[in-house]
Amino acid sequence: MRRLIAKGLRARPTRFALCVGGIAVSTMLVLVLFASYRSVAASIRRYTGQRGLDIWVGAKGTDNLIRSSGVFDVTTLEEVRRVTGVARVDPILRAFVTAEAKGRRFTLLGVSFRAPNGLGGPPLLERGRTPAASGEVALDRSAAHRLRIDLGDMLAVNGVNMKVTGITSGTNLLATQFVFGKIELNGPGALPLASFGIVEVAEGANAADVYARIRHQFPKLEVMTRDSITENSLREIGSGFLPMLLLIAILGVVSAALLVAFLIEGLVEERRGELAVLLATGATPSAIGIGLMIHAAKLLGSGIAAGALSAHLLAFVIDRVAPVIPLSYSAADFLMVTALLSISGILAAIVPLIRLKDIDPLEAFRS
Amino acid sequence: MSAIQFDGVWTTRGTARRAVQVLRDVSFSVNAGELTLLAGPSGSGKTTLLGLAAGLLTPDRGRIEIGGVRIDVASQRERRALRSASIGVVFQRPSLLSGLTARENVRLMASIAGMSPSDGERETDLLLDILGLATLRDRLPHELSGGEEQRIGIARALVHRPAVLLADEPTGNLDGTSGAAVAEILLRLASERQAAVMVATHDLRLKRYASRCLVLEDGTLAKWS
Repeated sequence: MRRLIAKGLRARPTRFALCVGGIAVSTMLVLVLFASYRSVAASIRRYTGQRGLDIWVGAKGTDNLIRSSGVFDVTTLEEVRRVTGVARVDPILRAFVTAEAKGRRFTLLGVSFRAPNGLGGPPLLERGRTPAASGEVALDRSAAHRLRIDLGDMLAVNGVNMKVTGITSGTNLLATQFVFGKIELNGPGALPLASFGIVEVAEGANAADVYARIRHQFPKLEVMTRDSITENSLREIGSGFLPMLLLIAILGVVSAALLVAFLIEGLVEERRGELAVLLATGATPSAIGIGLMIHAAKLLGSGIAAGALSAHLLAFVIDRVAPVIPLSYSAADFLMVTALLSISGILAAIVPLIRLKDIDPLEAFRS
Repeated sequence: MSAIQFDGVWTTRGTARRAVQVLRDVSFSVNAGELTLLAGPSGSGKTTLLGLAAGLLTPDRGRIEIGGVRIDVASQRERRALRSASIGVVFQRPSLLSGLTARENVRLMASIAGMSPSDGERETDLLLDILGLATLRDRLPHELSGGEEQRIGIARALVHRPAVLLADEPTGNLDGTSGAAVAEILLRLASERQAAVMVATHDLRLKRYASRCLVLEDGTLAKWS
């Protein structure tokens, strides 16, 4: 009976399709936002998760890759290298740099490392090779796309022309992208400074013990495990990103819920005569309510499925055509968005359903 | 035992401050197999009387029995159960569910009445055949003419083999030919299925199909004929 009632009360195809479209867009919006955050987080994790980046040291207060700007004397790292259990220590210098090519200009997150084999270089090369000498850089594929440059092209980094030797992937932080070059510690104009020293723990040594020893011996330095610098960097990304993401996600969910309420309200009002007949012939209000709820559920299910599909399609197209926004979907996000939209949609549908009680079955006689 | 029995029924409608006495001391009975017309001018209380017989309204005074069951003192749940099991209603505008085919609209009523799917389908197909609607069974309401829609409405009202059939202006929106066809169907089914049929109407052409005619005027039964 409920299935027949749901079928009988279904909305006009065009209206249903429009509402499905609206819910799909809301779903896509929320999924894309979550995916872009996840992608940025994945880039951070991919970078700090590279082999050998076990312990990080920096100037006091310099606790993340994103916004900290402290530097320290790189010669301190010679002392760190002597700590028991340390296999290797390499400096990196990170700074926001202005990259310019073909009349286009963007700010990138520059990471200078002991190229080509030092710790802290590009995590994943899509094409080309790691910079090996001064005057060479590898940059994120999205940045390369935006700057319209490719392997072999020249890129002005803070006004200095450099040759692009590599294109990296998984290095897009959305607001900015990584560019990797060789650190210059000696020679004319070079400053013997580092943002971080990256410590590789010797094989067989206990990373926690090494961390404790460095902390103990260098109280004036910030010493972090791989996990803590990752978390700190994610915190920095999240502090700017998450409130906006949350706000837009809420607006998306509310929009979808309003569409469901709109459709059910329209059905209750438009089909008042049919509903009155159903009530007059003995159908229970709960059976009618469930019938309408089935309709709301179909609407939500179709909208969410269409939204998820479109979101994946969008990611595919963006990745192929203009890889400027990194999108990394997760099943957990999909389940969460589905649950959020379903709950809010069903709750929103209850509001017009309450109006069912205003329908007098006697209206069937008067229509 | 009468299928419909009204004894000294009084009813007011409207709000407490603006109550209108709609029915005054109405008594009558309709037997199984009878088709009774309920005539009277607009506002005379015909629809109220049908509403009372369907258990959609409660009288102020008096006693109403449908198939031997006191519907006037029954709970809402009991009335609903009685309505879905023993009462069929034909409305002036059938208001078929627009998303369902003709057959599904009839089957829905069978389902509301608690019939098994197989019984519901069998009875639906039988009625559609009897009413000459077999070829229209898969059509949606908007693909049907007014007369066809009304005949589907009659099938819907009869699919659960109710003891009582209430019809409110069933020919009100139909031309003469369609109206006569609908009236003949009602008469035939009342007789074949031994249902007590009560038809509220302005259409006095239906008089020739009825066993008798009750005329309501200002809430009282003015004449029986």
